[in-house]
Amino acid sequence: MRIFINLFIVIHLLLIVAWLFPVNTTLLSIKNIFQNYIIFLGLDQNYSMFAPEVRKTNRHLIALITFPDLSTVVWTYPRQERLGFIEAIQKERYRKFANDNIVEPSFKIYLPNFARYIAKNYVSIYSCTDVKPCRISLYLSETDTRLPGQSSFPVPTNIEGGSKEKQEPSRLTNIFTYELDANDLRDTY
Amino acid sequence: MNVLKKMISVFLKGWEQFWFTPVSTSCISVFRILLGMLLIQDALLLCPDLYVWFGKDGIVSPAIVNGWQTHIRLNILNLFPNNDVWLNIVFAIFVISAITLTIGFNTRLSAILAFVCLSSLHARNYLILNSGDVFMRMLCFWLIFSAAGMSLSIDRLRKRALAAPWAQRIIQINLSLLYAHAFVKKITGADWQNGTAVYFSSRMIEMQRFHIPFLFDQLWTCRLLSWAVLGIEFSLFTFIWVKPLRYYVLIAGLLMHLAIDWTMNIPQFEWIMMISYILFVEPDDMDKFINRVGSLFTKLVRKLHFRQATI
Repeated sequence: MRIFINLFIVIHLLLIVAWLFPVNTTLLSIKNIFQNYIIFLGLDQNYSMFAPEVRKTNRHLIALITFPDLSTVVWTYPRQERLGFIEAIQKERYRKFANDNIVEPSFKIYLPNFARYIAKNYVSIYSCTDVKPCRISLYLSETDTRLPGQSSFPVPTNIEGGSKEKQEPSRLTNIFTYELDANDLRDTY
Repeated sequence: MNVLKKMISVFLKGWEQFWFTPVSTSCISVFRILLGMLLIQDALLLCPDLYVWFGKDGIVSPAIVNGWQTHIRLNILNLFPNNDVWLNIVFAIFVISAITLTIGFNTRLSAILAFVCLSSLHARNYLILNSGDVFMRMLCFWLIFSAAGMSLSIDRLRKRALAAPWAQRIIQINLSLLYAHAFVKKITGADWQNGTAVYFSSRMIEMQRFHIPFLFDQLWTCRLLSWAVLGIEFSLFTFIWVKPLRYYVLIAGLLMHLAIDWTMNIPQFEWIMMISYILFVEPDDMDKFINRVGSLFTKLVRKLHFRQATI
């Protein structure tokens, strides 16, 4: 039994080191050989929050819902900056999903489903029986954070809440547009 | 040849001592209770939006998640995909196992169920996970192999037992490697080298919680804080293994995580890190602490009982 435990310890420590620090060909080979095992059990780890660089923009996602008559409605998810203490904790996953992940190019495969979800979510909340959305456009709003002295607004302004810094102008970028069809809104009204 | 034999002998002796010399299970048991509470909290936080994140009509389609991933993940939700009833069952098992893990009832089985359910939820939608979730999953896995149910548990009422701490040691090493990885990733970044990292991270409005006046308002203080974070993370995988320095390093780590939790809204992340520090507390110190708490509690109960009897 002791032999098995020792083997278990050695193998798994080696796997953790190889996964986190594949710095040479040996460790990289170990990582590649065992990656199916590591990923299956969820032992893949990455602790690079705010590393190597910190994001220098404040950003959030909005969706423009367009109807056949070309009228539009803006949809957004729960915004952390507008929530109370408890609600901000509970809804933080929305920030993680929208601000950190779904806007990244590596996750663009999820955008069509996200657009369909927004449409269904809007339709079910507002009980749209006659007029249903036909297009969802996702926009990323970004505001740069600058070091003191680099701001577009060199004169500091007192803002309620203690900050003496004024916000930079925002950029709005269309990152995805999805044309809805009848099947997308099936199972709603 | 004799020198080599002696070196091997010393190594094997040290290995045996480090991994298998029985120690009090107080630390791993206290850790188990706190991890169980964090798992319950995680479930409570996920519950209101369960179908948004994991449902068949959720924000991320199961078909796309399964189709896009190049590797198979442990995910029992895939037994019945697109089935919210099955999701409810898995989630209920997760909640129940988190509770039984906390109270130490069928501890090993509870740890297995908690790990399997948590891994499944993570595999179903990994776009909502932060590093704290990842480490919590690791902790659940290593806890399966630990002696966490041998003290402060329903499984073993009253008597505190000794056991080989090898699973606890793995968690300690995993925690150290976590900080090593974080440090190495940070030190290569210009923001951390020039000390502006804390300045920029403190200006992420979406993550702000409570403001500390002065500390984040000056660039020079932000620089000092950035380098202090690097120093503390460096200590947490190096000097933490030096016994005379251990408690000072742990206190520095606690202060760092508490400060982050005060100023930034990253639910559970800091607390997952902090509870793991318990595993570095000396078993004797933890036993003394538990005995102290126990005797204070007994005195309080006696006082209340006496007051009630005299009324």
